[in-house]
Amino acid sequence: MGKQIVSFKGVTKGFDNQTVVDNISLDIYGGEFLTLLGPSGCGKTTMLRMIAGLESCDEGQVIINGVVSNDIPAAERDVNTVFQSYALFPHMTVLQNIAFGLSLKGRPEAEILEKVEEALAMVKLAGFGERRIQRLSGGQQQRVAIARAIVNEPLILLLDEPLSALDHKLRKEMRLELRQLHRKLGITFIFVTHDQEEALTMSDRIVVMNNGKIEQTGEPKEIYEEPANLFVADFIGESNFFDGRVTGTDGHWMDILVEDVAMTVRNRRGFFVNQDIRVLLRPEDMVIQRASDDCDQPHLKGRVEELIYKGNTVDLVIRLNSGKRIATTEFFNEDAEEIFYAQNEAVCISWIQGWEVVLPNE
Amino acid sequence: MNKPGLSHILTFRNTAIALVVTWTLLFIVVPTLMIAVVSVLQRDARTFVTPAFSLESYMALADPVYLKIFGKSFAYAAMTTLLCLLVGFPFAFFLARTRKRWQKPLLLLVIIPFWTSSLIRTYALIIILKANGIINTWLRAAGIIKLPLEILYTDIAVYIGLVYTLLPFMILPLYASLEKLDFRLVEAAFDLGARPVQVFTRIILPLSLPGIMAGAIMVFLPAMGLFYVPDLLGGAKSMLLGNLIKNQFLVAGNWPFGSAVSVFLTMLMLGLMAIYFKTMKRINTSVMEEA
Amino acid sequence: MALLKRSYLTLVYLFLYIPILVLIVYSFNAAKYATVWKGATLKWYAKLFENEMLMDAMVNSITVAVTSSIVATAIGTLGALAFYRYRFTGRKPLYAMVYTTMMSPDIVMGISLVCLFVILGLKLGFITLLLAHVTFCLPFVIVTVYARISGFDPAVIDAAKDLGAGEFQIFRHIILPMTAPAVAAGWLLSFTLSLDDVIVSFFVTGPEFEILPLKIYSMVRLGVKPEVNALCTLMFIFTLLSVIAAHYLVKEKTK
Repeated sequence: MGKQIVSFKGVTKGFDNQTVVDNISLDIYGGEFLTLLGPSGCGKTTMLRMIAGLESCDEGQVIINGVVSNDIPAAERDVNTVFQSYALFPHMTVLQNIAFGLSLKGRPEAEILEKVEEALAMVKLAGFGERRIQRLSGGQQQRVAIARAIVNEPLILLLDEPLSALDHKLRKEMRLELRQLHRKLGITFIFVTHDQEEALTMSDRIVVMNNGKIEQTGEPKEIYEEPANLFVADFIGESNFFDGRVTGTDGHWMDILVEDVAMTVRNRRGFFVNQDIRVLLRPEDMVIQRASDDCDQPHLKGRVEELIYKGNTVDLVIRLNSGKRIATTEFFNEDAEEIFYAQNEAVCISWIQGWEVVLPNE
Repeated sequence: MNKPGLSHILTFRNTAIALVVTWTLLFIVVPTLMIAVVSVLQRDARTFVTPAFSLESYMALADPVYLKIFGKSFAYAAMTTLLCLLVGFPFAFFLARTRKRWQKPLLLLVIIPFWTSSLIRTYALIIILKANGIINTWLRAAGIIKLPLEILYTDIAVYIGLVYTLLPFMILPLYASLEKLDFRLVEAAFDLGARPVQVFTRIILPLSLPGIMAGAIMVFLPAMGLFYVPDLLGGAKSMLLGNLIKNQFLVAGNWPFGSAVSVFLTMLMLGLMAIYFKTMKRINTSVMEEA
Repeated sequence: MALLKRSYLTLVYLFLYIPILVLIVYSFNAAKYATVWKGATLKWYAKLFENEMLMDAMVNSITVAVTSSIVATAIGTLGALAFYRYRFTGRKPLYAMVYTTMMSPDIVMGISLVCLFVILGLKLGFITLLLAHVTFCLPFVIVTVYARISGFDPAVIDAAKDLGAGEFQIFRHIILPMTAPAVAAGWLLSFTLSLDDVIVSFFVTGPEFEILPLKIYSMVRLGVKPEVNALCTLMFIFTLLSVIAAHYLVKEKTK
């Protein structure tokens, strides 16, 4: 990993007396693909705009490539943005759009043309230079927006929810292409999205934000498997939550009571006896057994309420005897036994010990 | 931080702001304030005003002679507004209910007179209305009348002139609000058993209120100021507020009094606009609450 | 209902257009005073162009209209930009003032401006007329251009900044070309307003500088004159063309 290319130091920003970014410190490293992920209004786009220079911070410092950049206008920053709406200039051709930045810098025309051609080829739009913007499809406009930004050879490319206006299939294609582009260019990509799947599939590192604060920073696997708190656990992926209480601790293990069933789980956070906890389990981590079979491990009891066939998985909605509903996912496996259940069939629910995430119940 | 140098002050941004701010202040704000000041000064035969405080002009407004002009001017303007509304509402309604393809050219036909010099349009009316003008010629040729009707230089001519000049000012805002009216609401009202009159008073009228008010303001105010309409069509008999202001300024040289009248007119306008925006706000919030 | 609708619309259009049509037809009528048609002629137009007083007034009017509409368009375009993009003290009250000016009766503006000019010691004539015309055209340009700027995606301006454009370059390369139709429409309307204005001009011009509408006003007070028919016809046709052009310029891309 390279050295820090962007640093936020205690950055705060508000609009109309509402704090949007609240005392955030964050280091972004050279060459990484970093995603700012969070629900709308969490401050992720504001963070991006502060790097671009389109927004100034009220407090703290934004350091870009070692220089405190708070007062450097957008035009003078080595940073370019791909906007959510693409923001292509409607009165210019594709070529004029892409050449805009270079021609403002007064580069010679031959060089501009060469670079524009290169950029067009990079986004697979070679030969589209003379087209008018209005005559391009959404996906093509998206590519022009990317070309217009990267042609300036910025240190950092900022992408503000660039895929949100595309249809599902195109979005999946573009994810892959953006990853490849990132590898080819070797520059830092900072990507903003509210789509967790996008974040998980594309990023080297994810910063999960909520209410102007950073909830967790980490690699996709870490964020998914070890969510730092309930917000992250709930925002990323689907989760089942169980309220419980610690009844005894023993080194790395502890005894807990969940839904009136005694279980033993890992103690990773120094939980203490009588502490209220919340156990979090992904649907695919649940183990389902027919109640008619012998359920050996400690387990919860319930009945199958709904069975949803999804092709490669079978999802169950199970109502526990306590009345609580949970979701489970089972993958088809060549040699797995039958995983279809009858409506209302009694089942035992447990999970592989150690796969659970236990968080304090605040 | 650097000390701001000249190049920092003379940026494009500051130039743009300075230009428009200076112009608006100097030629819109300052003159408006000036009128307010002049209206409370004493008149002077030679220099128009002397810098001595006096409420004389405002007292003079209560003079029966002027009160009569006010009353008359109001009556003219109110009547004109009413006539424009009566003629304009069905027109705007029908226009809004015409096929979309026809609406644009038809609307343009209303916009053209809106922008055309009302002096020229008033002049065109004279040709029509005068004793040996078109109407009289045709009516006599048809044998309906023997002697020419005396329309020109009467109150009727002034009304025709004002309505003719100001009708587009009523139609355009009315059309704007009627065009936005979701006609399914009308269908829903009928479906719920409303009679046509009820549909009109309970659905169409309240929803087009902003348009009616905007139109009324745009007709009522100019109707009091269009001095050349009564001048040309009503002879010297009809005197409107506009004629009064004009005469006080240019003929009698009584600036404080002329200013007082125009302050009064401005206040009236602001009052009407305040009512308008309040109504708009109430309609907007009530729609919001329902949503 | 359909018949009622159609006939009502037709009736009102007739009311709006018959006087103007009659005026136009009369400008070609050989008869001087009579209402009867005595054959087509262009002699009133010829007479109009021989009338030096009217021609002088026309030159004056056009000079004022050209100059004031250009100045109003320049200031108004920059003004619309300033009101839209920049935050400065008094932005909102000033914009409200601009809006109110558009609504306020001409006579109030005429009086307040003549007060200002007399107190400033300006001689009433070309300069004062020019200042006044720019002032009443300005709000129309500002409002037209403002509507256009606020119609496009604000991210476009961010994008230009992001790509290295300064304020002037944003104006020159982005805002001006994108608002061009509105700017042109604002200019056309200003020109028309200036050429047609009676009330404000009535107050702010002096006896040495006569302009067309005022000249027409004083002639018309004394009765109908065939040359005036010709003149009014020309002015009407001019307005007609500019309004249609402006209308399509504004509508063009807003769809």
